[in-house]
Amino acid sequence: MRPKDLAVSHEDTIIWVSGSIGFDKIPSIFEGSPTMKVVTGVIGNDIHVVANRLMDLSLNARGYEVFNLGVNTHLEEFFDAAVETGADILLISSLNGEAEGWGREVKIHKAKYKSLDGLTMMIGGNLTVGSGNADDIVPRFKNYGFDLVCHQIDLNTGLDMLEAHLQEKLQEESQA
Amino acid sequence: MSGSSETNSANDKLLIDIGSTYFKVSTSGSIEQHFRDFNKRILDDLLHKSGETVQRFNAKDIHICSSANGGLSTLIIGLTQSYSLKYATNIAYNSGINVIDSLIFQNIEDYSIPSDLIDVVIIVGGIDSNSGLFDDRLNQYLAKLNYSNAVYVGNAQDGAKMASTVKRLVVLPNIIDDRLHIVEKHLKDYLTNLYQQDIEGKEDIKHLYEITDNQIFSTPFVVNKSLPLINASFSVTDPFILLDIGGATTDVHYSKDLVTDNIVTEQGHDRIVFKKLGVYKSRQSLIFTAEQNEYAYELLMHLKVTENIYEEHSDKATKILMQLAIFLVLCKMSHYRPAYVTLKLLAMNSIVFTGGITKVLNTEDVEDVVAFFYRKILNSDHKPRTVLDTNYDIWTLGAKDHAICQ
Ligand code: B12
Repeated sequence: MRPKDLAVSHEDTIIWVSGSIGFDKIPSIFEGSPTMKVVTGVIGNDIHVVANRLMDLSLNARGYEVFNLGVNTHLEEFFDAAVETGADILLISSLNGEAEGWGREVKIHKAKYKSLDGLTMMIGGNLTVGSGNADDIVPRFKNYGFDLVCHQIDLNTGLDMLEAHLQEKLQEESQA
Repeated sequence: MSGSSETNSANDKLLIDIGSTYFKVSTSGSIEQHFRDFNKRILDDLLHKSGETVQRFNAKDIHICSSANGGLSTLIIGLTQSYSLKYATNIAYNSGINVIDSLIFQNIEDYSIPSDLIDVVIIVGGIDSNSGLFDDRLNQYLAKLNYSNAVYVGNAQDGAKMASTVKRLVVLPNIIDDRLHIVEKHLKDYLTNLYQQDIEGKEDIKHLYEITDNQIFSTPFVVNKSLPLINASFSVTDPFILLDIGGATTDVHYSKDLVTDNIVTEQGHDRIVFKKLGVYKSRQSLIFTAEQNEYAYELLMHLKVTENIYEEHSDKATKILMQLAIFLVLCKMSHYRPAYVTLKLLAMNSIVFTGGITKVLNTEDVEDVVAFFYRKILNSDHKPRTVLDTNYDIWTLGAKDHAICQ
């Protein structure tokens, strides 16, 4: 197996993930400011762990402090972990099609917490059953309370979007 | 139960367990069990009923454990249900402490103040790199609370600040590490010691030191010691749960394999206590719990009795209440009425019963309720092996193991 390649079997399927996943330390755009904390994991009864492992490595390489709750994580545990760690970002993966059901619950659950207003919320993976259309999915999930929605978007592109979002947020905060 | 405790090496020891309702006295050849006489001091009662046996042993060969004081009570104040409260609850139960309530700090003003004296308040929350999580509302709450001890096991920075503002606060290392995992040791040692001191401080128990040279331990601690030995000695297959249904409380010890959980602890077995579930002292609250459970009525019908049985004081009524207690505890450990842990009861291979219940129910009575529970609540014909510890072999095993180690 080539370095940085991963093989996973799905019944008879073998898939290869290769190329520029890039876990080498990338200079952080937040140089000088305190390390950003990210809580991540795979929501619901979803056991697709590969992206989650890659996410952990990539986030670490990008200089975040990562709290990885792994697969099979329920919404309450995500929010609870954000409270205990003082996380800046909640980054949820969903691959098996459960995202829609959980998405609808986000606002109700989050409203129970008094200290999560500043939390940046991001979700990615396969956010629907079947292929779906990002033009429908993205606004719907934003309406559920997510700041960033990455339906079938590769990890690095997603994490670049996150960085851009955080920079914007920092700028807004410094102007305010 | 297949194993026998008689062939073990601690033959010449006398093991005594003082419970809230019974006490039992075990030698290598016999087990005696007596109802306690609450008008007498424990020592007098013991010597009155089992004096001859006790006299045959030297003080160095007598080992005593007690759950007579009902254990210590704790109130836990934490940040979240899934981490701080859950971790502290787990450690408290495993140290033999009863959790009477747990509350989430952000909503602290919404909780009423318990009127009973709390033996120990546990305050917990946040990893060490997080801080500023508690504010003056904590002091205001504690000022109104009637407690004997307070221990802080949350993030380091808040602990340092709180030490100067909260009276009698003991600050220990965080039970949540930087990866959000549980760290049991410090809090567990602290609580176990506190329980130990409490037992030794109890007037009634102090007198027992007249007949033993050994330290008196808490019963849950002794039972917990025996769990890893159970399947080596008896025909119990892992994973299993052990139910100790007593007069005042019900103790459940369970294999960690039965929990799907974010808690990763080192031990193979955990413990949970249902404080108000017993057939003598807690009879009323047991009946109350039964009345809240829609299936309890069906169980009574199945057992061919009516709710009038709650008013009766007969052997028959005790038997039915014990069967109800089994059912209610299983409900509390299942998805139907989740307590703080939910067990994968369909994966459970054995269910072991110990305590007073084994003197009242036979295997058939027990299997009948267990089967009813699986059918009604879990829709399944699953049939874990039921084992009745009629001779208190499990307790003897733990007590002996402990006696040998001393
Ligand atoms: C391997 C695999 C499994 C393995 C999982 C092993 C394991 N423990 O991980 C097994 C066989 C167990 C499995 C089971 C199931 N699977 Co499957 N599985 C796959 C498979 C083949 C590969 C997944 C994988 O690891 N890819 C490699 C990783 C790196 O890629 P990725 O997961 O797609 O993630 C990338 C992006 O989505 C993105 N990403 C992911 N999360 C996030 C988050 C953010 C914020 C961002 C920015 C990006 C991002 O980054 C990653 C890298 O770019 C996919 C099909 C496929 N080719 O994708 C199906 C697939 C995910 N599985 C699927 C299904 C339906 C199931 C089952 C329900 C099947 C069944 N009927 O039993 C079960 C569900 C089990 C459960 N409880 O979750 C469907 C989901 C369909 C949907 N959403 O509509 C897929 C898409 C197959 C299909 N085409 O139907 N599966």
